[in-house]
Amino acid sequence: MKAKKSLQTQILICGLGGQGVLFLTRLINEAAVLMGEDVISSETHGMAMRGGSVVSYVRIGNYKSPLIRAGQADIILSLAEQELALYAHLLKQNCQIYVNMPRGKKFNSIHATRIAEGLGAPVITNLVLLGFAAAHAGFPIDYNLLKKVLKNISPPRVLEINTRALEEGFNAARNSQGSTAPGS
Amino acid sequence: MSDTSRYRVLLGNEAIARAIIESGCTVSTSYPGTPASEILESIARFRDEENLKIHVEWSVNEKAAFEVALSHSYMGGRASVSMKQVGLNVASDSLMSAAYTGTMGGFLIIAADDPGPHSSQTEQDSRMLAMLAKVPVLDPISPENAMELVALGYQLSEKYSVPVMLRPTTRICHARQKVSIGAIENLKRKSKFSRDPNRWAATPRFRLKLHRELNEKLAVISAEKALLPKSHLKNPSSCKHCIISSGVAYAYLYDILADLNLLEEVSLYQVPMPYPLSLKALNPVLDRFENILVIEESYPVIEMQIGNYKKVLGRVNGPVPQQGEITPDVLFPLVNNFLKRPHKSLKIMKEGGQRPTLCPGCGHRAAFFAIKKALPKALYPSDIGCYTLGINLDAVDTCLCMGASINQAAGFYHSFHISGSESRSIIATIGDSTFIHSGITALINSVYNQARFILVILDNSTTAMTGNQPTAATGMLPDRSPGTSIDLEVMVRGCGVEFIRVIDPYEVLDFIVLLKEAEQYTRAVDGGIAVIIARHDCLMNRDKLQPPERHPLVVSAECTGCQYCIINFECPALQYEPGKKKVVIDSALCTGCAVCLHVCPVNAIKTKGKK
Repeated sequence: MKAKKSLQTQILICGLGGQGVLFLTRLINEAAVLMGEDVISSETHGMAMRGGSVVSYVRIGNYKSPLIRAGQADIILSLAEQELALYAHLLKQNCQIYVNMPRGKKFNSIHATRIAEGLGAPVITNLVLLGFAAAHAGFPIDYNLLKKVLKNISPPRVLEINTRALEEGFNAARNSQGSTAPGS
Repeated sequence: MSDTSRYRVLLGNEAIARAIIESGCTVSTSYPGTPASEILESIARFRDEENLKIHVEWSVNEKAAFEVALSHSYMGGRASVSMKQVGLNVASDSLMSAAYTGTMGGFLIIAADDPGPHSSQTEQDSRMLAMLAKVPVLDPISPENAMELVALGYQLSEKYSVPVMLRPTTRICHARQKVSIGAIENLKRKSKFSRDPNRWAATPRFRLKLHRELNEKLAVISAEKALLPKSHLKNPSSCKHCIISSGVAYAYLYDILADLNLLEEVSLYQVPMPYPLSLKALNPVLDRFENILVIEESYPVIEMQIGNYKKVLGRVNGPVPQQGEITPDVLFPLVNNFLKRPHKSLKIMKEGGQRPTLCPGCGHRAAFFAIKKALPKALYPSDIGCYTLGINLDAVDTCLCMGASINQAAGFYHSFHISGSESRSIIATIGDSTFIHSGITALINSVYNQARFILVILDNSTTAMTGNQPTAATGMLPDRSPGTSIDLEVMVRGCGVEFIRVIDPYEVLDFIVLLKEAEQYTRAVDGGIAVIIARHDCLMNRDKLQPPERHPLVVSAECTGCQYCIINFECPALQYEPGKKKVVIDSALCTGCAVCLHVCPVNAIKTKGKK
């Protein structure tokens, strides 16, 4: 096998218990493996999952340990606007920030909850946000690869709605190109 | 032999489960507890995926789990028992003794520690309990390494006939990593008990002999080559600095040194087996380096065995904090200071975040509301589970450890009684799983010793907090197939209780009346302990086939914006809108339980379509 440079990307995913942080973590992990990368991540389980603050760290590439050190996160996906501030110290200066919130100017933001509710399933807010992030040029995981992994790990009865959520998020970003300049 | 190795992304606990299966273990037991719960669930899942014959059980507590698994080892089979660190306290009686009797088939104890703590009442270090018991303990640095140590642990256990402990921490259990999957060993062993009363039933005289034998084994075990401390460098003598570490801290240190481009300048030692530690192997290291930093979680186990506090910096004399998780952010300045490198001081992690709450529609919330309404001045001992979150509702005064609510209720009663002070009513709350774990003996003790209090068993027919594992009362087995259920009322009656009532906590008004009746009983001349079983299924439990009845709710214009409901009921679906100065119902969160109809002081919450 040809030696290839590893991706070395650190992704932080945050939200509240029940918002599907763990599912996104798993999805990104599996995608990284399909990309031929090593991956290690850290998850929140236990009492916090009852609506409390939940965070995952995903480290793709040549890492031995599962946590992200201060100032090292390349990307953050925040499912709840108010959670973002808790992890500000972990972000790199040029960190890509994707947030579920009514339109704001500071970050790449999308009102993912409203879109998910429009699809009739608030629980897929997580996938709307991921689809949205994947539409941006700097996002390291290919949208079609995410779709493929989603197909592998979704329970059959929710596969269709899960895929719709990813698509809606992706399309929302593409449609707003120009106004928010994805990838910047 | 099944197929060749392949990669999978596994949670640390799944990786441990996979390695246990691959080692040919045929009896696995556990009691649920974060961060260890997924180990047994994954063993059951892999068993079914691979069509294996393994006895997998959710035991009623860790002591039962330990003894069932140990007995399989006595019969020559490979066994595992997994639990969280405080569970090992419950099983510690068995642990201490089993170290002396030793084992036949490989016996692996997994005790998952929780530095932080994230989901536990202590930060205790199970390696210290291993040391107290004189049991070898292995300390993995990652899920991948945990798999290797499970395999080595079984080999070690069988080679020396000793129990072996694997001590992962939360960051290992709940890390997810790409790991390689191996073949499953089929040992095809027939269970056989070889009589040896001087060992399996040793009296004190023979115990001395067993102790001597154990000490002799440990001396040899410490020199096991595969488990000796080892440097990441081939030639460690070339560099100036030395750090000795174990567990996930080793992995953090490796990544930090890699980041700083210092992997060639610091010899980083991993200690896979912190006890028994080979001082013979470490002495040349101690001689060679002027100063040595020791980093481990969560107590100074390696450090105190090394001693030599003139050279060794760590928790005893040095810069390492004596409590809290050792995160990369804690380590970064520590390492830089040790290496005398200038570095920027870090911004301190913000405390805070959203506190967890009981789920919308949770029966516990309704029960706590009724308890507070019926007897607002009572003393509320409580216990370990989701319902500890009743603290948000001011309905939990104490939470000590599993099963303590009932003994504490008795203790508070006797304390009031003996001192002659005005006795407040006492209402203990405990979950169904915790009651069966260790509340049942407490209830027998309370009845026998004539305590008086109300016990509310919050029966949601599952072990909810740890992810809805089944209980003995449901009878369901780990693979969700039906087993033998044991009736909770019968258990309570068997403890000698005469006042037993069952109620659905959603019936808040009836519940309040019942609680007052129960209080009368606890104060009556011929009264005693009153037990109320507040039964409502956990809404998160996917084993339940019937979806709950839903009442669509609205907040009418009568809402005064007083926020009484938010403060005293704390349902996530009830939200205050500052703009409107009114409470609104988040329909995405609301389960339509309609309990809040009884909460609003001005009856502003209504069922849709009704006036």
